[in-house]
Amino acid sequence: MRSLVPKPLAVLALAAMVVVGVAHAQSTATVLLPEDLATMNPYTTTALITMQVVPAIVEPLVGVDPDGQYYPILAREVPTVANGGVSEDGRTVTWRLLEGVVWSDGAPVTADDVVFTYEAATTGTDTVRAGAFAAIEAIEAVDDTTVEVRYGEYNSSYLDQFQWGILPRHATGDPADMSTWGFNRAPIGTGPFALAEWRTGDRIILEANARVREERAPRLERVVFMVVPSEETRAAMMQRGDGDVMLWPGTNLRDVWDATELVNLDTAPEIWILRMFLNLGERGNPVEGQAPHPILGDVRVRQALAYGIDYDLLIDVLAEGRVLRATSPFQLGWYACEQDGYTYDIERAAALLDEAGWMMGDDGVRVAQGAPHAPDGTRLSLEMVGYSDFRLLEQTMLVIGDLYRDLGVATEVRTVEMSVLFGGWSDRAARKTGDFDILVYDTGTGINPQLHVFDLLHSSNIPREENDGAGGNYARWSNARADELLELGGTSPDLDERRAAYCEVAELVHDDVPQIFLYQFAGGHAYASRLQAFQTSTWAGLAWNIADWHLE
Amino acid sequence: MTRYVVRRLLESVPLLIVVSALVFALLQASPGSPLAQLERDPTITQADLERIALERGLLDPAPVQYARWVAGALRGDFGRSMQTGRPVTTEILERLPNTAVLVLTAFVFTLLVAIPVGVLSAVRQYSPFDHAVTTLAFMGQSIPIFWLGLMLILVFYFALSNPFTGGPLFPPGGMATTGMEHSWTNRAWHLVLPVVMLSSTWVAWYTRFLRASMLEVLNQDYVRTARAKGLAERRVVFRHALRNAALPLVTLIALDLPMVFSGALFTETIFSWPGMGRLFFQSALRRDYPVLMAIVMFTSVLIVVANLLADVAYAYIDPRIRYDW
Repeated sequence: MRSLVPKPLAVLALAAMVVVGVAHAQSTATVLLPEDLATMNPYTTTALITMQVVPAIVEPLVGVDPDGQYYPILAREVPTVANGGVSEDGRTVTWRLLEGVVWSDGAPVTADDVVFTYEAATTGTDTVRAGAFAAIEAIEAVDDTTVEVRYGEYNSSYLDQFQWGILPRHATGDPADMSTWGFNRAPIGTGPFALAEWRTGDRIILEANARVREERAPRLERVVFMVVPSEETRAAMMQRGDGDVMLWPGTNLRDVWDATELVNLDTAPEIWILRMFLNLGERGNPVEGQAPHPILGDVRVRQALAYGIDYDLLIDVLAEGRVLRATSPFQLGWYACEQDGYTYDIERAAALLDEAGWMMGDDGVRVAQGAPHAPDGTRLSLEMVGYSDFRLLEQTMLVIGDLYRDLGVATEVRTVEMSVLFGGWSDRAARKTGDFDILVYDTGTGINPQLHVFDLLHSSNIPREENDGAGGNYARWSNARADELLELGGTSPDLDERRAAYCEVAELVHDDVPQIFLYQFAGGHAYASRLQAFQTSTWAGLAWNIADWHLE
Repeated sequence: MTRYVVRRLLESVPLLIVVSALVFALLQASPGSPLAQLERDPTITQADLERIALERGLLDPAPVQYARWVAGALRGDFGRSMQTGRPVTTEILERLPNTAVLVLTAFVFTLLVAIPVGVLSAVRQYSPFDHAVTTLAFMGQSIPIFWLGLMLILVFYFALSNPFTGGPLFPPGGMATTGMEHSWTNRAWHLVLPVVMLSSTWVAWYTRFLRASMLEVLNQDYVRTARAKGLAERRVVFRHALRNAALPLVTLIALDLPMVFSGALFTETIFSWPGMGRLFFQSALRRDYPVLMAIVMFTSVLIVVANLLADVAYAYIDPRIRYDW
């Protein structure tokens, strides 16, 4: 056969493409993110990924350190009653700003910018923070560096309101156009770094802010946040030395870090507590004063379900000791409560079910026989729903389902997409309308638990027809004493008094079991050994101390 | 011909309207909410959520929302992304060139490899070369490409080093090294692995297709006649056989071309390529309806146009085909 092709086409010019890569500039750190930010305006998004990057550029008045203590950033000091920053009745808070601070474009920071931040947060289009500022009655710039904030009544989150960062009035725009501000893509801030370039879906390049005040001056010249969606690729880049920080590495990667000297893992307790929400009301009947759930309406059944879980098995075996025991909604910080919680006790659980009128049937599933809310013959069968793409959550549900089978409780375990589970009232999401037996997911609270626990546990926050589905009391728990205590937690300026109130709520929740607390996540970031001063914080994104980062 | 093209284009208008209505209805009917991410945040209040839903028109009845979308789309305004607040067209135009570079390169690479290999394989049927090609093509079609992508990274980024610099042989992803975006060689270097990953299936598929098509043509009488006339084998194969064998390939190419703009999710994900595939996927996860609608409609238009192009190209390549216009 004659030759057809002059020569086999040089398969590729691949070999010729040995192109020289660039070595790391010594003062550049690279952070690997799983996804890009949607916006850099912290008032139009609640996405956690935003708060990993933005605090390097935009600074708040105060921050929270890893120990759960407030510290001043743009403020001269944290206002308290003792230093005169908070009035005796707690209704007036005076903020004194640092003097001589300038924005990265050179304009001075003034008290008026704080006022503007309030205006944008409350009236801006697409704002997600209006509710957080709703308690403010008036805000006024007294002079260039003093802001006075007045509340109708004492507001427990007076420090947290300014945690998202101060916006420059001169470099943003009309709040009525907030969703389309140029600032959202190119923010001007006071932080250690300034945005140099943002290539959508690819990388965000920050360079040292030349105008930053001395105590916040960064030691690195540049930080590059690279968007690398594949976890495998991120891990390989860390091992190869092309990444200095990997945000939220999966627990499945621990063996990888253990095997290399180049990468460390720094973890801290997370605010997220995995819990089961037991539906106390009749399924899918969200009205005031609804009928009790035929099975879960009885507290003895709920307690039996709490005793029926082997917590040690979940924590030590399933999660390989990488999560922490949780027993109440109050686990961390100044408000942490000592609550023993339930322990695995299958006899006790069985006895409680017997007592509640649920007798073991022939096929190993209990049936009602004199149960208070269910007709005789009803099977003790419950649906357990969590969200998808979270293996540990799914495995946890399956293990619990197995444990319950020993107890004579049948469960059907299901996962649905996150956007389905967390849908709203208008979507008729099951969580809102109460059309479920047990929901399993993680939620948690920041350093001030008030808004969160009030939303989750106060009876006014049971979503129902009458309030158009407002509120997050999905267990539909109603307890007059708890309501009182939760209200006290929001009105008392005394932290000790508040903590005592919360801990009593924890006790009530323990006894009445609207929720079963499974475990609290501990999470963190992987970082290169050459990166110094990196520290994971429970209370802030990874950039909280980015000014101190440096390379060895 | 012009009348034919115009008629086909006019015919596609009702089709696109139906597609848009259908996709809109499906998005509305699918469970989930664009505000789910906000709902999950315990610090956000119900009043905030309601105001945002109202501002974004999410509380209006579906037909009203659809009418509003159509009215905007007719003016070229596809609305704003619910995630970023930026115009949807900006979002798409930012991603489009990235995807086009990746997919077009892979496409050209595919043709450059598949055509000669497919032809040679057919001409030398049952030779060791043919067996090797058939086996490789079969593997190429069967290997899941995300696995192939991870293996490429493992071998060419992680395990192998460039003997001159000590750095990795190929980068793990991205379009260029930071600060070297204008270097042609740097960008080409970043293209190699994703192009190999993306084209692996295509090369396999096109090679097999062309081989089969060539085999059929090579057995035709006119090929035998051409050989009998004493024509050079190269001329027989390329002028007489390939031109006929390549005819069905045109359809294949035309139908695959919209991919150039709709993106390649797996490749973009594994190699951190900021393209359309990822934009679509992210928007779907977050129920960013304006972006989803725009991308689906854009792709639909491309498919309509590509089909038309295929039909027109047919008429040019094959003198036997004439459209009734």
